[in-house]
Amino acid sequence: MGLTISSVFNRLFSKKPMRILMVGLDAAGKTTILYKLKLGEIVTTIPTIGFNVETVEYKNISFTVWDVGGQTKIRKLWRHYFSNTDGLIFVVDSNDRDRIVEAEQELHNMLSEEELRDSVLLIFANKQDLPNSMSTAELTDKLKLNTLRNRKWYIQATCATQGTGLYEGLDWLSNELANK
Amino acid sequence: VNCYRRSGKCQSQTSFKSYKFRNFESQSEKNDEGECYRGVGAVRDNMASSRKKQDEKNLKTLRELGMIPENKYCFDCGQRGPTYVNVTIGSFVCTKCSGMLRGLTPPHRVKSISMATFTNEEVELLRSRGNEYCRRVWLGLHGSGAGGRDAAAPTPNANDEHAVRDFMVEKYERRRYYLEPSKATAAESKPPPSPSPPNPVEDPTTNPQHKSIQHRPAFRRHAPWTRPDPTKKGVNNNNNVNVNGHLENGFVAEFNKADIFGGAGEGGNNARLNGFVADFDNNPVFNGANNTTGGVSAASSNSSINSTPMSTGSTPMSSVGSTPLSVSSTPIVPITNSGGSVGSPWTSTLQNGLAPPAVEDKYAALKDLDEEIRSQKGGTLEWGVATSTAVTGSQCQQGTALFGTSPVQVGGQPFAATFPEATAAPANPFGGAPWPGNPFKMNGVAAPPLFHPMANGFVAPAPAGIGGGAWPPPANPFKVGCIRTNSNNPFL
Repeated sequence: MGLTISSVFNRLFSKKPMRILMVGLDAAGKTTILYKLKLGEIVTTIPTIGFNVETVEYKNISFTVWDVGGQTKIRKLWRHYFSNTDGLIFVVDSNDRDRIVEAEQELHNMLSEEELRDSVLLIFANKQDLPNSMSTAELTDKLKLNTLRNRKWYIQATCATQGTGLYEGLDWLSNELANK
Repeated sequence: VNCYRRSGKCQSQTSFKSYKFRNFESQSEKNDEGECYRGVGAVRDNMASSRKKQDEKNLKTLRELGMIPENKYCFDCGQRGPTYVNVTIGSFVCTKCSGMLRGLTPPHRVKSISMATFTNEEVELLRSRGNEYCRRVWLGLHGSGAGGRDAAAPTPNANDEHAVRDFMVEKYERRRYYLEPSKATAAESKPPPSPSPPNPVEDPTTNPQHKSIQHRPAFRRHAPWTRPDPTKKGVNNNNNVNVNGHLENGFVAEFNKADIFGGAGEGGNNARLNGFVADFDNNPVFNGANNTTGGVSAASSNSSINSTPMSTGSTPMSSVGSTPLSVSSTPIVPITNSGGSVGSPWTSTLQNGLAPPAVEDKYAALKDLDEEIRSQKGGTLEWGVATSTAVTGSQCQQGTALFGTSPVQVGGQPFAATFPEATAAPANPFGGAPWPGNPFKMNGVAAPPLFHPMANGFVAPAPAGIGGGAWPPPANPFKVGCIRTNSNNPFL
């Protein structure tokens, strides 16, 4: 009886935890996104060596967001963060046409890992404020998202510096978590 | 929900194991770069290893490029030891500035030297450019450039993040100081001046990169002004004021940056300081002094160029913060005439001195020591205080040296009793500024508690001394501290 009550109570009032891993090429804007979500403001970031982690409360879900550095040599460390990841946020610099292929390769390499089998994929098409940025449709194409099988994914246009699109992305993640 | 979570965890743990297992199997196939996650077959392995080799080679080249003196300072704030490169313009920058550069519009692309891999093109770009080139181009019209349009333009204090960023906006977004590369390099290609001494500081035994730039006088970071342009002589007088203004900043900054070991290194003819002599090409003090030497000689012929490098020079130094000496508000004027003579003592010193052995890691070792000393500066009772004070003192004198006194004195004195002899060196253009003896003679061994307050007292008169020729303080405040109480000083 007590157990039932507490489980109902928990269900109603406690915050669901959700472990989010945020990766992407260097200078895509991961750290800026993290701190925009956490603090609501733009901080001047330095290139991340290692990781940043913050919990962000949103819609009764406690997102634990791991933001891992994206420079070439430290990308191989991403896999150490894979276990127990509920949601994967892949941040793309929409303005960086030169490296979109690189981003695509990294994304697909990562998704082939067994540990990420059950995690949902959210793509932040960041830096949409820049004039020459690619649209979500173009990015979907270039990132070959349509070739993904057995994967729930969603692409969201964002601009971290203005904060646009970030919470829409979290909305989608929270819905996915609720549906699980 | 809980139930679900638990089962979820279970699942992923199993999968984790299986992943590990798989990982073991495929370990041999995975190359270090992690570039091919599922590398299979010898062909792929070969490709991976050749790429790895290429990366290693590029990294080595990059590190060598980083050893070029002007690449040892952040291009944007002057901080020592850049860890990033800006592959958009080809400069070497520090971590902080790399972060800011990413935030510019359009963003610059920065890469960590150690955490990123570089393509051949990027390495080539960095080789062909580097901080010196970038300064010429991106600061071409700044005070430090040949044009001198904005000679009075402020160089940001490296500690002030906002100032540094604003300056970046001016520099890169508005291109306020931008000079067409063709023009910038044209200025560069002018032959080096014969009157200015060929850079004696450059250690001939160091790596090829150094050799390649050896024909350039003085420290390359400031090189443009050390290259007098005979055609611009007429400008000289007009710009003297500016020159002085910049020098003030420049000197202060250099002094702050100076490290005592460098000072020791300069005492080239002091056999005991052998180990430090090797540091010629790396030492900021040394460079600073040399700089000025070059700058001085340049001043006589081209002040507009001359004025700029100083302000550039000021950047790194101001980062140190406290400015014990606001030395030399206008010391430059007398110097202009004595440019040639300034250089010679240097040269002779060096020649008489020991041939600097090329020790590969000398810089690292020195840096450690330097840092140690710096960290001790904060305390009041350590001998380190005395030492740092000694540095201050030596810096003061260095300032003088810049103006014509033999630089040898500068280095040797804080650490040894050699100074008095050195004082006898002929090249003091101030003539009227007698050296009563070395006020710093005992610095290294001074009893700290006594010494410390006095050092401060000493610093104050310094500017007037240098500027006005009333250099020697009326009494030697350091004499009191002469009791040798502490033998910690490694230089004795």
